[in-house]
This record gives sequence, C-alpha cells and structure tokens, in this order.
Amino acid sequence: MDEETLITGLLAGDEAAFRHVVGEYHGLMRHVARAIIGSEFADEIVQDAWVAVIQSLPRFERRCSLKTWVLQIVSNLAKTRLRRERRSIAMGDAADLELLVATGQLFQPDGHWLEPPGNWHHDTPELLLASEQLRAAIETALTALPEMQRTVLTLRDIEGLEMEEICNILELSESNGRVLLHRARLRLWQTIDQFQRGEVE
Amino acid sequence: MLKCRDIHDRASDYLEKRLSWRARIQFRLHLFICVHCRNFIRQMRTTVTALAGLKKSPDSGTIDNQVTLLLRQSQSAASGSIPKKDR
Ligand SMILES: [Zn+2]
Repeated sequence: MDEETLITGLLAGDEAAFRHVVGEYHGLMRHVARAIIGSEFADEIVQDAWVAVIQSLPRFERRCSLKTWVLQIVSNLAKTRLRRERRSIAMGDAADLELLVATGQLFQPDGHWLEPPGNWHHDTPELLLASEQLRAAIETALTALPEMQRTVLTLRDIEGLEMEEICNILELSESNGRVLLHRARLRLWQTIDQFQRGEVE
Repeated sequence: MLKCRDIHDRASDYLEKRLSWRARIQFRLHLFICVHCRNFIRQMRTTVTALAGLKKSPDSGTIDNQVTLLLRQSQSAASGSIPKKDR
C-alpha cells in the first residue's frame, strides 16, 4: 500500500488502512515512547498519539514520511508528558553512552586484536537467523541493551529509518546518535561472535 | 596508520559511508593488510543485515483492539465531535 493510498484510506476511515498502519507503526511507537519516558507511561502516550494522528491527519503536510510524522507526534507527546512529570529526559545519559565493550579487553596496548574475531560457522544473515538458538541469543541481547541504544538500533537497522530522522525524533545530536548505534551493534556482534565460538568448542 | 582498534571503533561510520575520503582510503588500506579486521567488518555487515530480518508486527490481538479504537475515533472525528480518549 503506497503512502497516498494509505492516507486517503485513513481519512476515509477504511479498516484495511488502519490495520496496515497499526501493524506497521504500533510497535515502533512504543519503542519511541519507552525510550523517552519509560515503560510506565509508554502505552498511554501511544494511545494519545493515535488520537492525535487521527485528528491531525487532514492537516498532514507531507514534508516527511507518514511514519516519521507519526513518530514525531509520539516523541512530542512523550516529551511534554515528561516535563509534566518533572522528570529529566533520560536520553543519551551516562549509562547509555558508557562504553559497552571494554576495548582494553579486546585489544593489546598497541591497538592490535588481543583475541581476533572468530571464524563464523553461520556466516550469512540468512544462516544467522536460521539457527533458532542464535536468533534467541540475538533477541536477548537486544532486550538487554540500554533503552536508547536499543531504540536507535531498532529504528535504524530493523526498521530502516534514516539516521537524521532518528536523531530528530529522539532529539539526539548526530554524533550521540551514531555512538549509540555503533555501541549497540558492537554488543550484538559480540553476542553472535561469542555464540559461534561456544558452538565450536 | 590505523590500528585494529580504530577499525573496531569506526566500523559503523565505514559501513554507512560516513568517513571522509581520506579516512576511507586509510580504512581500506588497513583492511587490505589485516585479515582479522576484514573478518570483523564482514561480520559486522552480516550482523547489521541480519537485524533487518528481525522486523515483526505486534500480535493480532493488539492490532484488533487498536484498530477498533481508531475506527471509533475516526468516526467521531468525521462527525465533528471528538471524544476524549476512552480511559
Ligand atoms: Zn586490523
């Protein structure tokens, strides 16, 4: 369903169009809300955001994709709520930005690998996901990531949004966004590497 | 000359083509001489590509509820009376 058809359908109150956007956006909206305000208020924010989407859709100016626009609504509502709850924004905080991989353990003082990456038995994306156990290990590692890292990684690598859009939605500086993304990826790479070493032993 | 640690630290910028022309050449040069980093970059690329395969939709129960709610909302919006959210 292309975006114009989708918007027309939504404006007309077409059930198939609603089913499509909910399937595509609901999970993402929760990610964004959770990243900004935490899981406690996330569902409420997402509900409010859907109402706002329905109400504002006739005035949607198409200056960005529908998805980005919807996520910006979520982000704005979450931030407003955050101020009302007098909380400080938890984004890009110390825990998130902390180096996940202690590089001292990975590298010799001269910058060479201490323990080089192993040889992967599952060495294509298809093979990685075909192993049930490995897939579970990846999902567990994903869940264990700090909130903001997980959100950036999810929006970028799983949902395919542009980095600029993501930083905009989450109000991250470009450089912080990139650091968060890279750390999240490194953690997942490490998880997969460890899993594959374990299989060989 | 870049160290293996630099390759590790800047892999995402390399994969997303965010490095300057000069930095990219240096990066490539290191990959040319270092089998471990070639391995690492290939694995990072595989990891990132695999992640796209994890995309999933919410369960059908959640979708059904949400769609019902939205349809009701949009009908009231169309008829001009916008109710406060149900809660
Ligand atoms: Zn190297």
